[in-house]
Amino acid sequence: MKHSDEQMWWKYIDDECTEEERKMMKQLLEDDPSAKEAFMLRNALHQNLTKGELLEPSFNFTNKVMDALPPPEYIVKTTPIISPLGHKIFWVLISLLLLSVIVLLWRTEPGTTSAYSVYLKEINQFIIDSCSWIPVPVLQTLVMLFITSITLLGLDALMKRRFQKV
Amino acid sequence: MKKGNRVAFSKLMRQYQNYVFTICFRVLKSQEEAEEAAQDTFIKVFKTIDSFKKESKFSTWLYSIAFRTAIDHSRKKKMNVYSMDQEESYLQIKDDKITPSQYTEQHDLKKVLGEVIQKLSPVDANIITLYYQGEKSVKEIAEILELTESNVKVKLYRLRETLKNKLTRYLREEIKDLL
Repeated sequence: MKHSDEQMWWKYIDDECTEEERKMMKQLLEDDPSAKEAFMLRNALHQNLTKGELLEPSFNFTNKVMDALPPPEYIVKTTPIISPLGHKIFWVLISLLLLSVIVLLWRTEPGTTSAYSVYLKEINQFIIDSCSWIPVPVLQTLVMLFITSITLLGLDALMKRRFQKV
Repeated sequence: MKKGNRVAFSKLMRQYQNYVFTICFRVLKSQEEAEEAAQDTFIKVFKTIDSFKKESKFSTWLYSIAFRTAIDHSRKKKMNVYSMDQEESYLQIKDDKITPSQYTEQHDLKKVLGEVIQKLSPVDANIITLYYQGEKSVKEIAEILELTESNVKVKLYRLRETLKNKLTRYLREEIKDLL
């Protein structure tokens, strides 16, 4: 059998022949008993190769691989509690609160203001006048809020540093 | 599947582990070594699944990693199972294991065929495995084994002819009732 004939049988088995080639091969199978045998031998091999099974790894292979996988990466997605704009507003409020604290302190110890300059005294007087309408309990509450906010901001920054890295 | 999803990865591994293991075994010819290479393949895939660009089928990408990993293993262990120069000698499958006594004892063509495939070179054995068990096209096999399409076609044809010639006795037995 010619080399090209052998190749043609595989083309025929793999269903890669053109219509013309297919007709020719069919005719050959009908006319030539040796061609029939040549085809059937190859086809039997083809069928057996198709029926061949894959090899299997050992029983605990899956578990072994799962155990060997790198540990999961715990990525905690953190978003700031306060937005950048909120931060600005927050610090303005903090400044105001700080002023209110100073005012509160000066109001409780009025004698301490005497040592300051006139300019500072005027500012002090202005702050006292502008804040005098705020009742002391409200000022105390504002101070408490100020301390709480500072603590929360500090915690926020700390947590961000702690969880941002994997 | 997203990187780090262990549940999805476990399912994917169960689906493909036999394919990956067989590819590795065809190269390394040892259960232990093949399992090691298959394990490394899956770890690589787990780590780099995000780099899979869907330009080819997932299985093609996976099998090419498996084949390269197995080849790397054989080189590291200096197993010398992979050499293109040896292709010709691999094709000359020795007859020593297919003796007439074995023919009567193991009148199981499937079993003998498995043994003969195992004697082929890593590339040749994988061409047969990927074409018949992996249901891969010549183009995909070329991509996995880093060969040209025409090279795979020629090899596939030559391999099957060699197998047919070596197993004619068994094949004749199978078709005798049909002739």
